[in-house]
Amino acid sequence: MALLEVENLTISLPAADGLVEIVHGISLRLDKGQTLGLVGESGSGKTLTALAIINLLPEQARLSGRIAFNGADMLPRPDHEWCRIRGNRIGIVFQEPMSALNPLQPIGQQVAEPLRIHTGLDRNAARSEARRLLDRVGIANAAQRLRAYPHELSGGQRQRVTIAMALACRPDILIADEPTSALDLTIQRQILDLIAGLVEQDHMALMLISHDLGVIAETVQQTLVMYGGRIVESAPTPDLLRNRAHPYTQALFAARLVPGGGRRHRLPTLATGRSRALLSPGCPFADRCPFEMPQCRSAVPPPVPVGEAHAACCIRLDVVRDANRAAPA
Amino acid sequence: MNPRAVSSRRLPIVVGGCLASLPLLEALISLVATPFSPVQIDIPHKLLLPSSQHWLGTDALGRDELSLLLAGAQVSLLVGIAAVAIGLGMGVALGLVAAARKGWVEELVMRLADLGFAFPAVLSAILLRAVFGGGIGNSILAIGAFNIPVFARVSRASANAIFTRDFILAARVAGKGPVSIVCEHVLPNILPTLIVQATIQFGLAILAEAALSYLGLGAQPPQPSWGRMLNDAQSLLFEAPRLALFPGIAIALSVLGFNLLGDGIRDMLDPRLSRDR
Amino acid sequence: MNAPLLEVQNICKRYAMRRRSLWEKSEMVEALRNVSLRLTQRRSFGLVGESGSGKSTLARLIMALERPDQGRILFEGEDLHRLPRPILRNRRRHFQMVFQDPYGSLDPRHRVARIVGEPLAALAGRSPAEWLDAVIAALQSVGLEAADRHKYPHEFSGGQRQRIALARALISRPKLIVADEPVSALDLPIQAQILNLLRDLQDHFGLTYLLISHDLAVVEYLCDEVAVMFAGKIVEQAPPNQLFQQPAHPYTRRLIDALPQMRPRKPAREIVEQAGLPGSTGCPYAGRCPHVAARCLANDPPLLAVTDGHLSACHFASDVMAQHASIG
Repeated sequence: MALLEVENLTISLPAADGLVEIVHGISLRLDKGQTLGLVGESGSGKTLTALAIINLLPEQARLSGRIAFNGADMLPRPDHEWCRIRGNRIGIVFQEPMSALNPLQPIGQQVAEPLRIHTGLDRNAARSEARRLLDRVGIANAAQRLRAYPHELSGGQRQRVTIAMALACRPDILIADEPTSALDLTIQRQILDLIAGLVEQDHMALMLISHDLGVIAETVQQTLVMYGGRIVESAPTPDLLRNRAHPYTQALFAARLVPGGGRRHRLPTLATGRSRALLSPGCPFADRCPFEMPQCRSAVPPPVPVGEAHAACCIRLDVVRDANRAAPA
Repeated sequence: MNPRAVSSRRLPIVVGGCLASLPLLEALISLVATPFSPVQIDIPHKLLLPSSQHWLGTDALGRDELSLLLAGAQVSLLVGIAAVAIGLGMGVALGLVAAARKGWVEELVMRLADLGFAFPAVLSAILLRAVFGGGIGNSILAIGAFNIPVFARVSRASANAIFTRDFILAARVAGKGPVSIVCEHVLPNILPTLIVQATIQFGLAILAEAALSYLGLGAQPPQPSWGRMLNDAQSLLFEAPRLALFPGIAIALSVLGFNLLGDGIRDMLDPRLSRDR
Repeated sequence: MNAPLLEVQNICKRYAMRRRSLWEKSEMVEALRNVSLRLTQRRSFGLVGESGSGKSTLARLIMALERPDQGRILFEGEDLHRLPRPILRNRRRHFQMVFQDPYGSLDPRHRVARIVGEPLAALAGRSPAEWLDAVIAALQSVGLEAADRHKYPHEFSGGQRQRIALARALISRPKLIVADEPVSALDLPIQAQILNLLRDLQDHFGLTYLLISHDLAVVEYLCDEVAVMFAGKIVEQAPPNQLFQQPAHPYTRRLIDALPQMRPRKPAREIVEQAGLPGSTGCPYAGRCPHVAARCLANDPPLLAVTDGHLSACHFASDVMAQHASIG
């Protein structure tokens, strides 16, 4: 039985003229100790998917599909049952540490809060556990830092605090949504190492969301590429690095500047996409795809197996593969 | 358009707009004609109950209540407009100067504003009456003076937020001087906030004018005003409570209307601005 | 073509930190300590550093938005901060800036035409027709259409807004464009588009860029010379390929190591945060440096040439250089 199973998740949000489907047919599976990455650009729906899994979408959002935690379908359950899971069995780390922390409360209190809510520890016990957690996430002088306010800490330190909060109740799953995008490069490295190390130590499952391919490539075992609210390619990470089947994945990799690669000739680029509202039925990537054909727009391409546990949603995979072979990225 | 979504967001504006336009309508109507003259004393017909002739009855001196209400709206509106105009004009100027110059200028302006807040409008009205005698002018000056620090604070705070934005830096890089930057970039961007504040202050000005007239510091007899109607009704509170009720409701509805209007405008402008992505 | 376009000489800039209470004296933070550099025409220069390194402060000083506490900034030989206001305003046409946030750098209440034409409006003496022509030409040179000039910023995407910002920067035909993190806020495929555009514009208009970024790869793509900043100081300076292959400063090495690589990585064991701000004497990096010695705490190393064209501010620069295997 999988720890987390999402089947055919669809998220709709209200717009000017009724509900609009933003995320379509997401299916994924997370087992204990497994690490999964969701990569895509802004607007691809990855953050919405993460929020849906913990049921933190705005009230007007409509969800359909199945979100099962340890086999139990959570979607129809009332909010107080979700509350028991959030922060307790699933920990979440967001991108902006400053908005995740209450500027008016000392961080010791904030780290202790999930402990007091979910595990019923009393104030002193929670406090010493909070100290232990701050220590564990690598904050120097943890005992004194308990009294510090968020604005007295640096960006990297604040993110460590949010990680401590997420891990306080020893969750089974950690969801990290762009945990390092707002941080300096050297701090990014530290925070990623921290997350990866803790996940390994506690044998947690990790769902890491990022627009940065390098971050995903280094950290997770399985990668899902999202575009336009759909999963367009899914593969074990080493396979994805070796063999990019979907045109969007290829374009993403090709657009990456490799440091130390010298002053190359022009970067390959994609045409600018049109806004989501104008998307025709069919492949969401059709507007920008260099391999686009009229058939691409008539129906959404189903997943096609490309290798072991590797699938891509495209009807022109063979053409794409040949082009890839001819001009390796 | 999803009708349900539209109406719930628009509700404050619609309701507020209707209520807020009442005093305007009343004032306009009264400028043209009123059922009876609001100043004509008619003792034999005093304290009449509402009837088909006098829709709201008459007061202690036989004057038609409805006509008094309609004419009283003139004063409220006049004072409201003038006082808010004073506040906007001088307050925004001060606030912008404070935000643009920073340093001791900002401190000075803000401390003056604090003084302005601390000084009760009623007290200044009393002083003005002592110097100039009674009249609407006193109300306008007293309430207007109180509005200046309000707008100074609001415009300074909003302007400060705008000054941190990159497009201000870009304008400086382009070579624009501070005056052009304030006029072309800062003012248009703080306008929504100012509009909202102005509608709220308008409602408050009506309330303040009523208070001043009630105390006899504003509109002088025979000029009809809602506040003085309340004062006149006070001694007859148990005999004819309706005499206090009608002007009271008029004041309350006007203030409510302007508050709702201000809230509604703010809500309407907010998502549009934040949808700017 | 060898006279420097821009010369920064021994710039120092201090800021007062927020005081905790009325009675404490305000602490001064040294945003820039004795920074010097030279830009020659058509050789683009990159500034790499993290938050707190002083790179944005330096950009603001170069753009004459703030005054340095010490030192001079010479543009084409003229000390910018000594010029009388009207003359400085006139000179501004030669150096323009592109900002990081595509959503904040355009006034949401102005139409594109007015935004792009702003630098011209500030300079005198152009007829409305000339102005319009210049605006259209600028929009087209960044890949937008003449019709776009009637629209408002919110009608455009992030990448398109950066193009508008570029058009604004180009319209006065500047010699120098300072670009502060021009692509960080954009998605990867759009980043590539804008970087290509920057390259093309450089070739077409003979521009010189001062590119500020935390991203080494972006700087390498566009610049002929790179300087790494830390705590208000330039700690290393070299052409980009030399910098990558043989970094001569421990901080540069750390930056390079921090870059995500496209392969699975074992997390480092040391996860405790780096504590400590730079002290007032000695090398600012001493608190975090693996090579630190007594000498480092006592003397702030000057920026010296390690090899031809390669400068480093480290007492042990040659050791660091020798140690590092090239990452190719």
